[in-house]
Formats: sequence, C-alpha cells, structure tokens
Amino acid sequence: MNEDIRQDSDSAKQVGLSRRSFLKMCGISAIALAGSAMVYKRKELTGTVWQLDPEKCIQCGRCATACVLTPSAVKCVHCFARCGYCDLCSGYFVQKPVALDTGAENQLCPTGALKRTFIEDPYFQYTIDEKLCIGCGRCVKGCADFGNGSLFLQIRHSRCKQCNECAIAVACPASAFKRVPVTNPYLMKTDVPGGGKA
Amino acid sequence: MNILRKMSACLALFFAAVPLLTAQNRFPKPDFTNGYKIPELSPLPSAASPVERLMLSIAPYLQYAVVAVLLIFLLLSCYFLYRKRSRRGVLVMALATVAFFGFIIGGCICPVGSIQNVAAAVFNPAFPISPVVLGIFLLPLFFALFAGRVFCGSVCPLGTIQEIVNFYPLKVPPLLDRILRTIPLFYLGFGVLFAATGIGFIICRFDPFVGLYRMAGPFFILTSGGGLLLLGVFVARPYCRYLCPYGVLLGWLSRLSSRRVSITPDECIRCRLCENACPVDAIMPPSPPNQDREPMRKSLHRIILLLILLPMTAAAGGVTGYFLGNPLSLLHPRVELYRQVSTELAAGERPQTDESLAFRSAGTPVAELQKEVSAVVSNIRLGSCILGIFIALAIMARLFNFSKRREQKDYQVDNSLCVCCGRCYNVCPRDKRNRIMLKESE
Repeated sequence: MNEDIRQDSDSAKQVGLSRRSFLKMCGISAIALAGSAMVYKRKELTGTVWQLDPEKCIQCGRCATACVLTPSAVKCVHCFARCGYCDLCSGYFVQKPVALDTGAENQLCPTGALKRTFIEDPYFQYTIDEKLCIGCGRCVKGCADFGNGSLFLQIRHSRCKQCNECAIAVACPASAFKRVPVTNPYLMKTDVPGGGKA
Repeated sequence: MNILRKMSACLALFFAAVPLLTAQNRFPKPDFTNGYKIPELSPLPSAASPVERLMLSIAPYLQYAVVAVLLIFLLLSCYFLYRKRSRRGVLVMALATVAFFGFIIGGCICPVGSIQNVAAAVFNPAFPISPVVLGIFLLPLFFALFAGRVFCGSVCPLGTIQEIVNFYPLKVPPLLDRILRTIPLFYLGFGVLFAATGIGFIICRFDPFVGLYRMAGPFFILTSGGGLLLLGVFVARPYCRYLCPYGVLLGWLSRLSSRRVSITPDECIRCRLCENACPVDAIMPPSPPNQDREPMRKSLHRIILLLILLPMTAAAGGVTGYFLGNPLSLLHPRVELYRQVSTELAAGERPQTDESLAFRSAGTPVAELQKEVSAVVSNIRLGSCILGIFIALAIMARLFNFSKRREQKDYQVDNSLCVCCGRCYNVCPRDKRNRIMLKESE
C-alpha cells in the first residue's frame, strides 16, 4: 500500500518535472532571446555614468540642493583656456561690488571657494577650491551671463554615488543631465564655445 | 585697452538686462608678458587625486566585477541553503550583502531598480543600457528559475537589511496578507509604465533603504526607510512582501523551479512544529482529509464564475487604464513643460519657471514640443490601457490560484512566496536529528 502511494507520487513527480522543465526551457530561451536581441540592438556596450552638459545648463542652482549628498556631487570646474582673466570678474564679484578686492562682501561665492590671484596687470587668475565648492553655480551664472563662460558645473565622480535615477537629473529644468559612457565621464568646456570635449 | 576692458565689463554688469545664454567669449584671451602659462582646468579631474584617477581607470571593469560578485553571492547562497541547509550561512551571506551591496556599493544599481532600465531600453531605443545592468537584472531571475528566490533571502540589499532586523516575526492575518500582496503588482506595472514612457524611475525614487546605505537622502525616504525597518522587527520583510516589484517577477519564475526549500531533509512526520516558523507565511499545511473539505462542486463553481468574470475584468481594467492615461501623462516632465509654456505664450508672459526659461532660451520651436508631447500622451494612454489589462489578469490569476484545490500530503513550501531565509530548517526535528547523527558519526 505504502509503496503504491510512493510509486504514484514518483510518477506524478516525473510528469510534473517534464512539464516544469519544458516551461523552464521556454522561460530561459525567452529571457536569453530578449537579452541578446537587446544587446544586439545597442552599439555602445560600456557602462554609463551621470554627467551634466554645461552647454545646456542654465545655472538654476538646483544642483546644490537636489543631490542626495550634502554637499552635492556637482562642483564647479574652470576652463582657463576660455577665461578672460578679467580684473572685474563677473563670476567672482557681486553686481556693483564695493571694491574690486577679496573682501567677503564683494564675493559672489557663498563659501569663498573661488580664489583670486594676481598674475600681471590687469589679469587675475581664478581657481576653485574644490573642498569648499557646493555646486550652487552662482559664479557659473555670473560668468555665463557677462563673461566668457569659462566656469561650468560638472558631476565629480569621486563623490557621485551613481544613483540609478539621478535626483538632480529629475530636478534639472534644462534636461542637462544624461548618461555618458564610463570611459569618457566628463563633458568639459574647451576654449571654443560649444566645442567638443577637453 | 585695459580701461576699455574694465569699462565694457562694468557696462555688461550694470546694464545688461536679459542674460543671453549663447553669447559667450566676450573677452579675448589675454597675452601674458611675464611668462604665465595658461593651465588646463581647475580642479583638473584627470589629475585630481591618485585615488580618483585609479577609480576612473578601473570603473569600466569595476562594474563587471559587481556582476561577478553578484554571481558568486548567489552561488554561495544556494550552497548554504540547499547543500548545507544552514540558516547561519544564509545570515552570514545576508550580512555580507548589507556590507558590500549596501554600504560599499551604495545601493545602486540593484536588480529591483534595473527593471526600469530594461523597460526603458526595450521601449526607447535611445536609452543606453549596458550588459552590466542587463546582467544584474537577469542573474537573480535566472537563479529563481532553478533554485527559487535565493536572491531575496541573502543577496538583495533591500531584503537582507529587513531580514536582519526581523527579531519577533508576527503573523499577518491571511486575508489582509492576500490583499496587501496585490500592491507589488501595481508597483511593478506603474514602475514599468513610467520608465517606458519616460515619466521617471519611481521604484528608485521611493527606494526606502538606499538612503540608509548612503547615510544621505531626502527626509521622506530616510524616515520611510526607518519606519519600514521598525515595522520589519515584527512584520517580516514588509517591503519584500507588500511593495517589491522585482519580487513579483521572481515569484513567477520560482514557480517553475524544481529546487525548493524543503522544510524537512527526509520525511515529514507532521509534527506541526514548522507551522509558525515561516515569517512570510510560505508554508502550506497538508490538505485536510476529504470529508473535512468543501465539496469539489463548490470550488468548480467558483472557478467557472471566475472564468466568466475574466473577460469583463480585463475589459474593465483596460478601460480604467485608458481613462487614467490623461491624468497620468501630467506627471511627464515634457507634458508639464508644454502646459507651462503654452499658457505663458497665450498670456504673453515672460518665462515664469526655470523649465520654461531653459526651453525658451534654447530656441526650440513650440510646435516641435507639441509634437513630442502628443506622442508621449498617446504612448502613456496606450501603456496605461495595457497596464490595466495586465493588473486585472494578474489579480484574476491569483484568485484562480486561491480557488484551486490543492492536493498535498506534507508541510510544503510555496515557492513563489518563500524568500529562502532558512528559518524553517531550525525548527524541523528531523533536521535536528540528522545534525546530531552527523555529529556523532564524526
């Protein structure tokens, strides 16, 4: 009696197994087909990281606040080749500065991350102290509106957590954020406006 | 010359009313006489720090390494779960997952979120997807096909953190459990719809635990993650059971798996000790003797009723989805932008939001945006119609499953619900006996 039951269950198991393995085969082949079709369709096969296109950026200031990190993973970068080395730098000074010096009341940068050094009359070099920069883009806006546009924002990959959906990309009003190949993770400005990568 | 430069800058600063985005390079490159050489960039990312340089150079390979680690973790979990039958091994794997995929990798990208990358890539050919993401999406599904939801048990960074805090698992009332378990169907459906139509990745946006792993994030996410963990002390894996969209896919595939967690290593003596051992209620008791069950006729009637209702439910789902399409499309950023821009233009206003400012200063014609938006809206309407049908059918399939008569002798595990945590191993007396005998023989 007991053996009968066992045999029954065994045979039932076998039937179940064959159907199961058939379905399994279907499932695997479907997944494999879909996967290979998708891979085949794509040309670029490298992984991607988030980056912002400085040519699209409108310096709204959301980079500083929308990032999941505090301070943001976005920081300012300076392309010296495009800089005019102006004495009255519209990225460094507030509008109508009291004096053209390094006084805090004259500076646009809220954290004093933009450093001004004298080169020769009337030229000044502006560098960014990355540790202090919070990515608010005020200097970028000043430089883009009245200067050469040599300051620009970039996601610093040493900080970026590579969220699957970048929180700043969601908040960006200009749709400037996109996924770029990990092999070329920065979109730099060059000395020519609208020119290619550095 | 110098005075001229200063004056022009002053003029620009004081009198320029409308900033122009495109006009740049206003000042010529200076000619330095003191031998100053123009540096490249500040700070220079390619030379920023040796660590960053190293990270950047190995980043492409690092992503593949993550897939390899995922594979190793899955294999190890299978080994502990099926070969060793060790709850402790599973827990160790869970801790390793929390440490590696959680705190070190930072949560992204995980298979749960990768659903959306795959959906976006399938429906939008311009969306970039790498084999890495594809591998992370497919590997756990592949394992589910052969070995059940081992991924949930000890390799999912979202599941394991809940597994670890689940100290006092309580039973959820069966009816409530079944009702709540339909939420993941909706979450999966809307997640795929939103990703495919470009509304956004909602599964990532409302991922409750990634904020804890990064120790940073929006207030809402951090508190909901903390809240779910607190709840998870008593209710086992609240996110996995009542929210996780990837769990739906894993559940479907693990139904086909021949390998499953067997509570007892050899034969079941129906001691009922395991009845309350399962924190996710995946243990099904043996079917009662025939005279105690409801008559066959009754369940047959129920199934016939469901079959009659099936086309109507599907149609109702489709129609509901179709009418939901319009309100859903308002969530799309481009649709919102079009609404803003067109109202502004109709009223003859200047740009009121950053979005419309960016759009209007870029100089794209509004007609182009309108064309794009109408395509998006019709896509969303079609998608939500299909989504409605899908959800209706999925719920009906569940009802069929509940109505089906089960023939089962022993305590068995429902493979689609079992999250492979291995808790039931520890309560089975046969398992204990085996262990003792093994020890003695050694």
